[in-house]
Amino acid sequence: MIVLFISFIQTVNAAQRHPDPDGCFSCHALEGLDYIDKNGVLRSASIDKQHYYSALHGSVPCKDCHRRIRDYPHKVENGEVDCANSCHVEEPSEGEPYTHKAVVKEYKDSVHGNGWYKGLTGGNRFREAKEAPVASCRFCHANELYIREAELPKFKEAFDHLDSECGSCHQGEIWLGQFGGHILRRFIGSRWNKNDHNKMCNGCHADHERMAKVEQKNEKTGEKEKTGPRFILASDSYATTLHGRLLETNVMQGASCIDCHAPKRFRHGVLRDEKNDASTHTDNLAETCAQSGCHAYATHPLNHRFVKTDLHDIDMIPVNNSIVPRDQSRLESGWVKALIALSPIIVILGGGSLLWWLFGGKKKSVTFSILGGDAFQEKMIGRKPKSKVKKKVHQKKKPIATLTRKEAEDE
Amino acid sequence: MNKQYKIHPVFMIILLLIFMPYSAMAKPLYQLHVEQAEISDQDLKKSLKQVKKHKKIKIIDNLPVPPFHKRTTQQTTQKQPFCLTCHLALPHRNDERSRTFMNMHSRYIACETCHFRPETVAMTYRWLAYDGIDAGNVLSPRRALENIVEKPPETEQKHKAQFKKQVPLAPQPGARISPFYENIPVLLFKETPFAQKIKMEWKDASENQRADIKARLHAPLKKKGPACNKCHGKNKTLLDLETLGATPAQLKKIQNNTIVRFFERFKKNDDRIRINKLLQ
Repeated sequence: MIVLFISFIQTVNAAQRHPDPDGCFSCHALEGLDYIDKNGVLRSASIDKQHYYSALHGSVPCKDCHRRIRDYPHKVENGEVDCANSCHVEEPSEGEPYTHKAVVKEYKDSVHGNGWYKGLTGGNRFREAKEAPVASCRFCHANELYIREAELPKFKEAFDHLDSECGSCHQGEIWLGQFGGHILRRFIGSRWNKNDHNKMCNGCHADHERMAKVEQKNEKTGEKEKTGPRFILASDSYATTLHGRLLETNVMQGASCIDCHAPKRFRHGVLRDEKNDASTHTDNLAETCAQSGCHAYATHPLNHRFVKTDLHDIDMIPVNNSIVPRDQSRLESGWVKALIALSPIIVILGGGSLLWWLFGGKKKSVTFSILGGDAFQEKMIGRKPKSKVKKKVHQKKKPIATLTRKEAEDE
Repeated sequence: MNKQYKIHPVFMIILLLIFMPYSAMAKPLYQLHVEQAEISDQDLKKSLKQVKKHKKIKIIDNLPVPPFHKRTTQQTTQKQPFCLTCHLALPHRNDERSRTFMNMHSRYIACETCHFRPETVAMTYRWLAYDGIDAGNVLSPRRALENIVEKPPETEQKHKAQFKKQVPLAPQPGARISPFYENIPVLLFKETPFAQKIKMEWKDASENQRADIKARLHAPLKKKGPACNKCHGKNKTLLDLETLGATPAQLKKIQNNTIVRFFERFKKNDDRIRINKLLQ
C-alpha cells in the first residue's frame, strides 16, 4: 500500500488535450477554401492543421476564441474574437484557465489602448486597416509556430533528456506533450529577440504616411492634435543612435524600442513621456537607463545629465534626406541655434571676402596697409617705401629711324 | 530531258486534310456551341444589364493587418482556362454557403465540367494537365501510374495518421477533371486562337457589342452547377471516379462525405443549420 501511495503521489498526470472537440477541422482542414469578399479581400477559411497544432494556440479549441459559432453558414458576429477571454487551456503552474486578460489590461492602459482587442474577425481586417488608429493585438501577433523551425534542433536537444530526467516523476506522453514542451520552450530562450521587437514597432512607426495621420490628445486642452516630425521620424532618429546601430549589426547590447518604452511586466504598457508612470518620463529615465545593468551609473546624481541624451533627435537625420521636414520645427534645431550664434562672424568674414572680390582684385601686387606700412618696408625689408618712390616719367621713345647717330649709339 | 512533276496545290491541301491529325482540325465542343448559339432578346437584355453593372474587382491580398492563421499560397497554373480572361481565379463569391467549397473544387475540376453540360451530347471526363511539361495534355490516372496499397491506420497510430499527407486523386498538381468529346478537350485555354479573337473583339467593342459577346459565350453554359450528389453519390454519377483513378478508400471517402450529407439538409437559400448535425 505504501509503495502504491508513493508511486501515486510521484506521478503527475495531466488532462488530455482536445484541440478539435467540435469537429471544425472536418471542413476547415480542407485546402483551398478561399474566396474574394465584397471588398475584394482574399479570404481563406482553410486552416493548415499541422501548422495549427504546432502553433501557439495549438492546444486551444477553435470555439474558445470563436465562441458563438453554432450554425453554418457562420454569422460573422458569432466568430468575433476577444483576446481578453479565458480559454479551456489550463495555466500549467496554477491550474487555472489561461487568459490574456492581464496583457490586454496593460495594452488598454497604454498609448495603443484605442486599438482593437475584441470583435476581431477575418472579415474586418479591411475595416481595421482603414479605420483603426493604432495597432490591434493581431496587427503584431499571429498564430505562429510554438517552436520556430530554426530553433527546432536546439529544442530537440533539450527535449532529449526529458524521459530520463523529468520522466522519473512526470510520466506519460500527455505530460510530455502538454507541459514538457511548454517548460523546455523557455529553456531555449525568448521567442522574440530585440530586432524582432523593433520589427514589430517599425511595422507602423517606420511608415511616415501612417504616422503623419496620428493624432494625440493634448493633456492640457483635451483636444486632439497632429503629431510633429519628432514623432513621425521616431524610427529614423532611433536608427541613428548607438542603440539602433548596434542592433542593426546584430549586437544585442543595444536597447530595443520596448526596452525603454515598456520595460516592465508584459511589455505592452507603452505610455506617453508626460505620464508620471511612463518609463520615459524625465523622473524615471535614470531607472530605465540603469535597468538590467545597462547604464547602472545613470542613477548616480553626478550623472544626471546622461539621461538627458536625446535618443530621438531628428537633427541626427541627414539634412539632405527627403524625410527631413522643411517646416517651423527646424527652427528648434541645435544646428539652427548654432547658425544664429555664428551669424555675425559669418557676416563679417563673408562681407569682407565680398568686398575684396569686388574692389581688391583690381590692383594686383599692391600692398595695402592702413597703419605702419611704410615703417615695415623701411625697417624690416630695408627698402624705400613705395609711397615715397617717385614715379618714373616714361619718355616716349623715338623710332630708331628718326634718331641721330649719337642718340642711336646712346640708345 | 526529265519531265518535272508538279503537285497541284488543291491536291496538296486534300492530302494534308487526309493525313492531318483529327484533333488539330476539330474545334472544341464549347467553341462550336458558342459559334452556333442563338441569342434571344431577353438574354441580350440581361447581358447588357450585367455589362453595364459590372465593376472591375481589385483583389487585395496585402492588407497591413495580417491574417491570424497561417495561409497557403494561391495556386496558379501555366495554362489558364478561357473563363479566366474575365472571371477571377476564385470565381464563386456570392453564395455564402457554398462559395468556399466551390472554389476549392475549382482547384481540381475544370469550369466546363460543372457549367457546360449539353443534354444531347455524351461527354467523358478525364484528367487534363494545366501545369508542368504536360500542360494541355491528357493525363493517365494516378492509380495506373502507382500501385498504391492503402492500409487503414492501426489504432495506436491513428493520432499520427491524421497529419499524414494523403495521396491526392489528381495525378499531378494543377491537373483538372475536364470534359472530353470524341477524345478532344471540350474547353478552351486562354491562348487558343478563338479565345484570343474574342479577347480582341471585346477590347474594341461597344457596350451593346459586349453584351452580345457575353450572351453568346454564356449561352451554352449553365449558371448553376450540378448538385453535390451528382458526383458524390453512388449511382448515376457524372464522373466515373474509378476511371479517374480513385482507390477504393478514396471512392468511399468521396461517396460517403459528411459535408455532402450536411449540405443535403439545406432546403432554403437562407437556411442556417446547427454544426453538430455535421456529425450525424
